Amino acid sequence: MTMRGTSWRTAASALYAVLVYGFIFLPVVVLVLFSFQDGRFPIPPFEGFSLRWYEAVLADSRLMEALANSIVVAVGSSLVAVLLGFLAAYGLARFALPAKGVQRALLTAPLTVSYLIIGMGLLITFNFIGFPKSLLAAGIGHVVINLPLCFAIIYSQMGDHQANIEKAARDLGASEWQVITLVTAPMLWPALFAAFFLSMTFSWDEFIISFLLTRFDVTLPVEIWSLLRSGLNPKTNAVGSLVFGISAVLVVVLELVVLRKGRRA
Amino acid sequence: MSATAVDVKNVTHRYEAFTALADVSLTVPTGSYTVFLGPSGSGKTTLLSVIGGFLVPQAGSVLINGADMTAVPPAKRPTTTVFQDYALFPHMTIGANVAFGLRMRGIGSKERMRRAHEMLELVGLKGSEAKRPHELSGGQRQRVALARALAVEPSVLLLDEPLGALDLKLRRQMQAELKAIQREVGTSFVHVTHDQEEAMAIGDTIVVMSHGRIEDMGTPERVYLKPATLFAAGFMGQSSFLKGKVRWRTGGRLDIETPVGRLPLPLNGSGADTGDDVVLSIRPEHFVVGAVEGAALSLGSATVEDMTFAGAHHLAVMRHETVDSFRPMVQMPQTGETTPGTTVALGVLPEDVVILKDDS
Amino acid sequence: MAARGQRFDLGPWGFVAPALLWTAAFFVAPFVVMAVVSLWERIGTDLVASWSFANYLKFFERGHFLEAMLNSLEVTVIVTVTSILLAYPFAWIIAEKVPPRLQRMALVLAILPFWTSYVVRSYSWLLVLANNGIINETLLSIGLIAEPLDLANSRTATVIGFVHFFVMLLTLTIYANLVQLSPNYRKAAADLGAGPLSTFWFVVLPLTLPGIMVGAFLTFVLCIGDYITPQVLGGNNELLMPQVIMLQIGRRADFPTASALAILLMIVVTIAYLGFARWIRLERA
Repeated sequence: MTMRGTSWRTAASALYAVLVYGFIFLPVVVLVLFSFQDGRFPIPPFEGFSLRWYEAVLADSRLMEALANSIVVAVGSSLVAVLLGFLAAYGLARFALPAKGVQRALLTAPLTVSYLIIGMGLLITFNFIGFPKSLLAAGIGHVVINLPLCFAIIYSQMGDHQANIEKAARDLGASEWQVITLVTAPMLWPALFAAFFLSMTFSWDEFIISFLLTRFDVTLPVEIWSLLRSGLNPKTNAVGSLVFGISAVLVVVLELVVLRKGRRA
Repeated sequence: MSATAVDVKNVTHRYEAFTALADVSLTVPTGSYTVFLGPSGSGKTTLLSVIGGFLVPQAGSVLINGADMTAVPPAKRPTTTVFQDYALFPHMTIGANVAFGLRMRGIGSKERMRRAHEMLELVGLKGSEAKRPHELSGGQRQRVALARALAVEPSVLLLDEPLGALDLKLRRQMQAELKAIQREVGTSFVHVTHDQEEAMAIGDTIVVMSHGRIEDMGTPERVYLKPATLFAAGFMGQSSFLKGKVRWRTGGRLDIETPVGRLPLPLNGSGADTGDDVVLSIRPEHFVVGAVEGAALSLGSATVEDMTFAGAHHLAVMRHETVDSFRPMVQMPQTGETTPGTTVALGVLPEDVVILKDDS
Repeated sequence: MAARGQRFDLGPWGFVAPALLWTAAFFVAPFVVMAVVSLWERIGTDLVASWSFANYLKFFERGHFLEAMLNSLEVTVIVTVTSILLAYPFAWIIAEKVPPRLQRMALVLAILPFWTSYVVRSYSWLLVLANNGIINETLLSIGLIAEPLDLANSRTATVIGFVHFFVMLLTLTIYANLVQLSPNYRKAAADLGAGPLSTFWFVVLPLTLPGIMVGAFLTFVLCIGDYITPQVLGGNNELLMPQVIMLQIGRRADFPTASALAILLMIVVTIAYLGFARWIRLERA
């Protein structure tokens, strides 16, 4: 390979990367830019810098309530999903149970079904038994979609080497409960954390199940959806930018924390 | 404390078609260092699991300090195990690892830390309390696993191939340390290995196992010099085998017909009788090379095929002049003229020949 | 731990039962309910247990249902293929050309817009593609076009919205596959005389194929069931399956028809799953 060939390839690679980055960031940049629009429409021309749409968002009590609801549903459903997923993974990885393959298939089956269908099934079922549309109903749906994910992540990290470590703990006198709380869970901490964080993200961002299963108290994506119906509006830009900003900061902080940990290990 | 630490009675265990243990019985005297030696699949690790409580055998019983422990879980037994992969808790400090068993027994943190400190000092890792397992070398992890298992003062310590993951030099060094630590704490150690040199260096008693059975059991010297079975003779060190038949037995003597001629031999502890098929086992260092005189019996002559240098001596693989099935493995001097192709006369002292039943 | 007797131990079930029961109650049961309801009929405002396949027959009789399914399949296949073709070279550049210490950052950057709200993401594309949006305004101002292009409210807009999302997702999965590859494979291939292209074609691509397939399946499932993207960006010219299903639930509360359509959609996904199945495995480390 000649130097010339190499540099030509590098240039082509760089150009391609820049184009894809551009494609990925284009809508975000437009979204954020026009959230500062000093005018009624989030479209060119840019009429000047203003924070008035952010003020409007923060003053919108419905949006703020929906934000709080979203946090409650995301944290609550993720905790349940991680707990159930962890226990199931522990049971299936460590004990001789019949029909393990069927159990694993059942637990991961919701991964292959569209959220829309899961939400619709729950909607019809809850309708029949008279369970009201509510944040609780949406939370139940979020556990259904996140449980398979939590189970799969945690199960994949339960190696036989760790089984040996649990055996050592039992040998030294730990009860089953002590093994789980003092050895298994701490050892799997990164997997548990990843499962929880991913569940949070999915629940936080989930629209269709919440849309179908909530009525008066709604989550943030549902509230943004009703805002969207009013057409192009810089206020929607402002909400979107806020959500993006918070998530991005969270991801970067997480990345730094995990990276630092990774270096120490 | 009773004189017998572990008493295994008629234990049998099968995994589907595979028999891991077939009617195994043995006793481990209190305060001794016992080594289970055998190739993989011989049942030695299964036997250790049965003693440690990780496996309940399908038949037979296990007594520890005289009490029946057959179905008692590991935690409730006065035994602890040092695992092959050490199984240190990766998320805990070394101190917390060593103190874990004491914590499970409800001992206060101050006392725990004091004992952990003591144990780490015992294994030569003083001051490592705050480190984590991944910061230690393989040999150091091995010591931590030992300290952790000893911290709860078990009456029997079980070691499952504890030195298997270490390099040769470190392994030899750790053997000496393990033995010294066992002498110091006085706990009964039961150690599983497939390395016969390790077994000889470390054990008070060696239990040779094969196919789920005990082939031989005794002091290293006894098992090496007077192995009870063909398998034990072959697995513990090297041996040359010569088939024969007992023509007659009178008093303390046997007259054995072999392809190299008739050999009059003392019993040498063998139970062979007139008409039995036997195998004569001779260690490399017991061959008399060159001038066969005095009490030595002549075995005919053989040609050197191959020589390997073993440091302190040479080891020659030979082809017997007249008997194809007899391939003597002979220890030769460290320095000497013998080269492949040389033919030498071979002999052996009657008392050095081990007479084994031919069970092949 | 084998017990000597055949004593039945409830212990292990205690760990698995909560998750199994949850899945049974809130996933399997609703699915059964939906299957049952799909055989009923909505007459007036009531659901009548008529036990017929009428709702399924409707799918084949009424052109717009079948059309929606075909539209959905077309869009999904276009999106999946386009996304893989865009993401693979991108992931490869990040894995190979970016210096190792910057790779994590390059990757985080590549998937950062992932964390914009899902609903807002489609809306952002509307801003970009609208008649008076940034692209049309730019093209008009530099005189490349005289009239604004109809970019938004079309299948193209839907596909762009989808591809944007799935390029990020696939970049992540393909990158993970590429860096897992031992460099010795490539060294061995080069050592045996393979050029860069044949190394890629015969060694790298086959080894990363399982990962790509898992990503492709994920894309397929998420894309074919998505309601928001076509609803925001697709306009009124054509409907996709999720939109048709939502129409049955929303305006008409026709649960039987919606259920039948949902089950048909699931059957399509299941067929796709069977096609992908040999690449999808769940294994412990």
